[in-house]
Amino acid sequence: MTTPEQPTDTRRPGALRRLLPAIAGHPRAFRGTLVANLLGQLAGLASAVLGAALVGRAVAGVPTPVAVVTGILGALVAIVTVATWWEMYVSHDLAYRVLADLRTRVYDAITRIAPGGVGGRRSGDLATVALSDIETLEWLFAHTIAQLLTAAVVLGAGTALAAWIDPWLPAVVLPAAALITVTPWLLRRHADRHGAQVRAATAELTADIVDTVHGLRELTVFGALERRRAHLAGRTRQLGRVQWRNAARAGLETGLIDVLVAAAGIGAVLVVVDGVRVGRLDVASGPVALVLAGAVLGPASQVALLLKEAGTLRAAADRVDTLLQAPSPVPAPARPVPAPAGGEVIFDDVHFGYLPGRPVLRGVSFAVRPGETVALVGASGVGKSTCAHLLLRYYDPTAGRITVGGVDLRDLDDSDLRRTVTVVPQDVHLFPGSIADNIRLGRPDATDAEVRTAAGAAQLTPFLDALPAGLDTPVGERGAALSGGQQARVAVARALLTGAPVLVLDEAAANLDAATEADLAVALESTGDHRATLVIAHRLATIMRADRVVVLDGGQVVADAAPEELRRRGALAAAVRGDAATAAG
Amino acid sequence: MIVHRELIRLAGAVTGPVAGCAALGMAVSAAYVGQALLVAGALAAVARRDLAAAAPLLAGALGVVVARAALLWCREVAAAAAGARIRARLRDRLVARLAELGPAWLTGARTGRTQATLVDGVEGLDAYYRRYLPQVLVTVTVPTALVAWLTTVQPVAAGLLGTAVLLVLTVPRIWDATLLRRGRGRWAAFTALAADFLDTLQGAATLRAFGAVGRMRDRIGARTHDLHVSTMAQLRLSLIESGISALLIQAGLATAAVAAAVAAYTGRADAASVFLVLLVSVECFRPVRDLGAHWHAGYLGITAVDGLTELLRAPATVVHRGRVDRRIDRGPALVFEAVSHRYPGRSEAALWEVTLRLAPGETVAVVGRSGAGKSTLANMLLRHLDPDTGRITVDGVDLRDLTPATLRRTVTVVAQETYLFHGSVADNLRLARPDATDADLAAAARAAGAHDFIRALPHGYASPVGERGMSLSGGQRQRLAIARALLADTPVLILDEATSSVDGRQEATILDALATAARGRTCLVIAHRLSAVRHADRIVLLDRGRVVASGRHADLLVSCPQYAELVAAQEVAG
Repeated sequence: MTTPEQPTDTRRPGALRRLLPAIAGHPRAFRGTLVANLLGQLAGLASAVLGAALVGRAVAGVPTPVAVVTGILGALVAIVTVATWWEMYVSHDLAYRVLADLRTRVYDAITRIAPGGVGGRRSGDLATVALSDIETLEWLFAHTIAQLLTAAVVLGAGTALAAWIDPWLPAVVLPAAALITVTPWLLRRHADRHGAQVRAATAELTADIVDTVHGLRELTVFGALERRRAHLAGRTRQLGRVQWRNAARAGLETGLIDVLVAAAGIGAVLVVVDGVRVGRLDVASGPVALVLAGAVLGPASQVALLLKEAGTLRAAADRVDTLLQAPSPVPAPARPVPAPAGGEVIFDDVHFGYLPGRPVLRGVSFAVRPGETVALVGASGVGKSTCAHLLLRYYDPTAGRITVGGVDLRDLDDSDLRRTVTVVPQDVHLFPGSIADNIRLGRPDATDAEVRTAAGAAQLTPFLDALPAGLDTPVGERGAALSGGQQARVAVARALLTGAPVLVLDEAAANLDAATEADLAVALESTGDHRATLVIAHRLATIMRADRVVVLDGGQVVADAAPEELRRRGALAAAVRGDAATAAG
Repeated sequence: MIVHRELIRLAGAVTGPVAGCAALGMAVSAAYVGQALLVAGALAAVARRDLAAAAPLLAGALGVVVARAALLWCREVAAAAAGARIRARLRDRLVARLAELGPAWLTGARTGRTQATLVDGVEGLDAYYRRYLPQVLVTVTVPTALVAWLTTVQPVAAGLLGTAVLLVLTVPRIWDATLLRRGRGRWAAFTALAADFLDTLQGAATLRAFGAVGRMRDRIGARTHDLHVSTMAQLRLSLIESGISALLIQAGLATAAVAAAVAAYTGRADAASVFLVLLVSVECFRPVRDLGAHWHAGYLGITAVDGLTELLRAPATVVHRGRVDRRIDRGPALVFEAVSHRYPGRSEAALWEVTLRLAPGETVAVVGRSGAGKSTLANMLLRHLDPDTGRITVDGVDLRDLTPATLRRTVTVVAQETYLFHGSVADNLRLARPDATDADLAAAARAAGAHDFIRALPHGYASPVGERGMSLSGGQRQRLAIARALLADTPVLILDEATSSVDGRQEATILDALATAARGRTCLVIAHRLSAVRHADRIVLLDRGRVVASGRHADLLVSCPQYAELVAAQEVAG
C-alpha cells in the first residue's frame, strides 16, 4: 500500500548539541542532579576503598579499629543510598520538565509551519516526533549529561589515588579506560545509521497505524482488513529487523567493553602481584589498589554504555530539531499594521505554485467589495481552493499581493488576520468537545446567545432541537458523531461567530441538501451587509446567487461578470462545466 | 519484581523466548562467578606469596572473560529477536481486534489513543518482556545458588548476604499494587496527550484560521504538565524500589567486607575464603543490580497494560457470526424489514420501522433532508451497524448470517466522505481489487471520469495522493472513490452522495457511467440533489427516520406534498 521510505540522509550535524540548552531553563534541577550524582559516586568510591583497606589489613594481620571503620562504612552506605535516590528523583524531574518544554516547542513549530510548511509529512510521522522521539530523549536528559561530567571527575580522582599507591597501576589501567571509551565512537557510524533506521521505522509504523484507524471504514467495506493486517505486520517486522541490527551492534559493544574491563582488571591484579613481589606494595594495600583500578575502569565503562545509545539519541534529536528549525512559509511581519475594519479584498496579479516549475496561479486579479458575494468557478484543480488558501495566508504569493482594505495580508499580525478573514473549509475539522465548543473556536468569549444566533443562521436549530443535550452534544473525534451536512453547518456557525469582515466558503455547500443550502444563503445575506464573501462552488444554484462570478482557467481570470450577464452570454453553463474558453468568449 | 499475569497472558507464548534469554543470562552469570572464583584464588595465592600459583588462575580468568563476551553478545541478539517476536504477535492481536471492532467503534474512540496503544504501548513493553522477565529468573536462581554454596564456606557471611538479597527482592513488593494503579494514571495522561497532539496536527489549518493556536497550546501545555506530574508520581514509588536496592546492595557488600575482616582477625578464615566471600558477594548482587536497571527501563512500559486490555475487551458494535458463504452474481433482491435503530444518547430513533424492498436489479433512490436517516440505512447495509429490531436480507438471507467475506463480495459503497490512504492513486484504487491490472484501473477511472485528471498528475497513476488525499480536490477524491467502487464490482452498490462534490459537467458524465454500472446490479442511491437520482427506477422519501412516500418522480410530485416541496426548493435554487 505504501512505498518504502528510506530514512532521510539529510542529517544535519549538531542536533543533539542544539537541544542541550533546553536544560538551561531548569538550572536548579540540573545542579541537583550533578551534585547528587557526584556525591553518590564519590561516597561509593570511598566506601569501596575503606572496605578494601579493612579486608586487606585483616588478611595481612595489621590491626584496624573495626568498630570505627564499620561506623564510617555505615555512614557512607547511608550517603550512597540517599544520594542515589535523590539523584534518580531530580534527574527524572529535570528530564520530564525538559520533555514537556520540548513538546510545547514542537507544538509551536507545527502551528507555525502548518499547513503550508509541513511539506507532505504525515501526521503520524509528526506525532512520532512529539511523543516517541521526545520520550527517547529522556535518556539524554536524565541519564547522560550529568553522568558524563561525574564520570570524568571520578575517573580523575581514581587515577590520582591509584598513581599515589602504585604508579604502575594507571599506566596499565588508563590506556584500557581510553580504549573502552572510544569503543562506541569507533562504531559510531553504524550506530547513527541504526538509530536513524529505528526512528524512521517507528514513524512509518505510527503513520500507517493512524492511516488504518482513519480508514477503517474503507478497509472494512473493501474486505481489505486482512491485507492491511499483513501490511502492518510487515511494518512491525521491518522495525524489529532494524532494532535487531541495532541490538546486535550494541551487544558487540557490550561484549568488547566487558572484555576490556575484565582484561584491564586482570592486568591490575598482575600489577598488584608484581608490586607485592618486588616490595613496591604491601599485602594490606593490595585490595585497595584493585578497588582504585576499578574506580578508573568503572566510569570509563559507564561512559561507554551511556554512549551506546548515542545513535538513537542523535536520530531522535535530529528529527525533533529538524521540526523546530523548519522555516515558516509565511513569516510574521517585522512591523505589523493595524487590522482593517473591513473593506475590499483585492487579488493583485497573484502568482503561486506549490511546486517549483508548476505554477497554479499566473497573474490572478479580482476584487470582492464589502457586502458583495463573489463566486469563484472553474474546473477541478484550476486553483480555486488555492486562492482561498492564499487569502487565509497558509501560503504567500510568489509574486503580486493580496490586500484587505488596502492592507497587504503580509503586514498583518496573525491574530489580526484571523479576525479579518475567516473560512468554512472544504474539509471541515471539528475538535473533540461539544458543538458549542466548536462554534466558539474563533471567539471563546462569545455568549450563549451569540452562539445560538450563529447556529441559527447556519441552519443548525432544527438539528439541535432534536438533540437531548442540544449545543452541549459532543461531536466526537473529527466530528464523527455528526453527518457531513451537520458538520458543514457547525463550520458555518463557527465562521459566522467570528464576525470577520471577509468570509471564504470553500465548497461549503457540497454536503448540504438544496433546501438547507437555500435557507443558509438567505441567512448569510441577511447577516452580512458589509461582509465580503468569496464562494468556491460548482453548483449552479450557489453561483446564481452570487453578485459576481470570477472564472478561472489556466491560472488566470478569464471572465469576471454578474451571473446574469454570463448566463446571457451563454457562458455560465460552460463555466460551471469547466469549459472556460467558451466562458471567456 | 512484578510478574504481571495479564501481561504474560497478553503476549501469548512467552515462555520459550523468555526461558531462552534467561538461560543465556544464567550462563553470563556463571561466567562472572567463574571469573570471581579464579581471581579470588589468585588473590589468595598472592596473599600466601605463592605467586607461581596465581598465573594459571589469571590465565583461566582471561579465558572465561573472552567466553563471556561472546555470551553477552548472544544474549543481546537473542533478547532482541525474542522481543521483536513478542511485539509482533501482540501488535497483530491488537490490529485484528481493531478490525473486529469496526468503524462504528471509532465514533467514541480517539485515534491518538489507539495509535499510542498500538505503537508506544507495545514498544514500551519490549524491555519488560525481553529484559526484565528473563532477569527475574536469573535473579531468583543465581543468588540462591551462590548463597547456598557460600553457606558451606562462610556461614555467617552467607546468612547476612542471603538476608540482604531476600529483602531486596521482597520489600518493594509492598508497593506493587499502588505502582500499577498510578501507572494507569500515567498511561491515561500519555494517551490523552497523544490524542490531542494528533488532533492538533490534523486540525492545524483550522486552528490557525480561527486564531485558536494559543488556546490549544494551553491545552497541550496542561496535558504535558499532567504527564510530568503523573510520571513523577509513578517514579516516586518506583524509586522506593531503586532506593531499597541501592541501600541493601551497599549495606550487604559492606557487611560482607566487615564480616570477612572480622573472621580474618579472629583467625576463623584464611585469605582465600575472605577474598572468596568478597567477590562472591559482588556476583550475588550483580543480578539484583541488573534487575533494578531493567526494571527502570521497563516500568513505564507496563503502564500501557490498561490501554491494551481496554482495546482487547471493548465490546464490538457488530459481531460477525454468519456462516452462509455464497456467491451472488446478479443483482439480488434486497429487503429492509421493519428496521429500527436509535443511536446511543439520542432521544429520537434514526430509523423507525423502515420497510423497503428492492427488486433484483432495481435502482432505488432515497431522498430526504439532512439527518433523515439516509446514511444510517447505508451503514446498516454495510453492517457498520446492526438494526435494533427488524432485519435486512439479501437474496433472502439475513445479512447477519453471511460471512464477512461474502458480505464484502456482495455490497460496496461510494461514501459521502472518501478516505484515501497514504500511497499512490493506483494503490488506492487497488484497495478494492488487489489483483486488478493497469488496464482495469484505467477502465474504472474512465468510467468514473477520473482518468483524465489522473493522467495529468505529475506521475499519473503512480502519483502519491498525500495524507488523506489532501493534494486532490473534493471532486477528484470523489471520482477516485467511484472508480474504486466500480473495481470492487459487487452485485449491490450503494451510492451515498456519490456526486456531491463533483462539478456539473462531470456529474452528468459520471451519472451516466453509474447508470451503466448499475445495470444488472441492485442499487441504493442516496442524494440531496435530484439530478443525481434521475436514473432511479423508484424514489423513496425518508423523513425523520420514517418512509413517507415511495414511487416514481412524476407520481410523487402529485401525490406527496413533502416531495413537491423538496423539488421546489431545488428548482428555486437551480
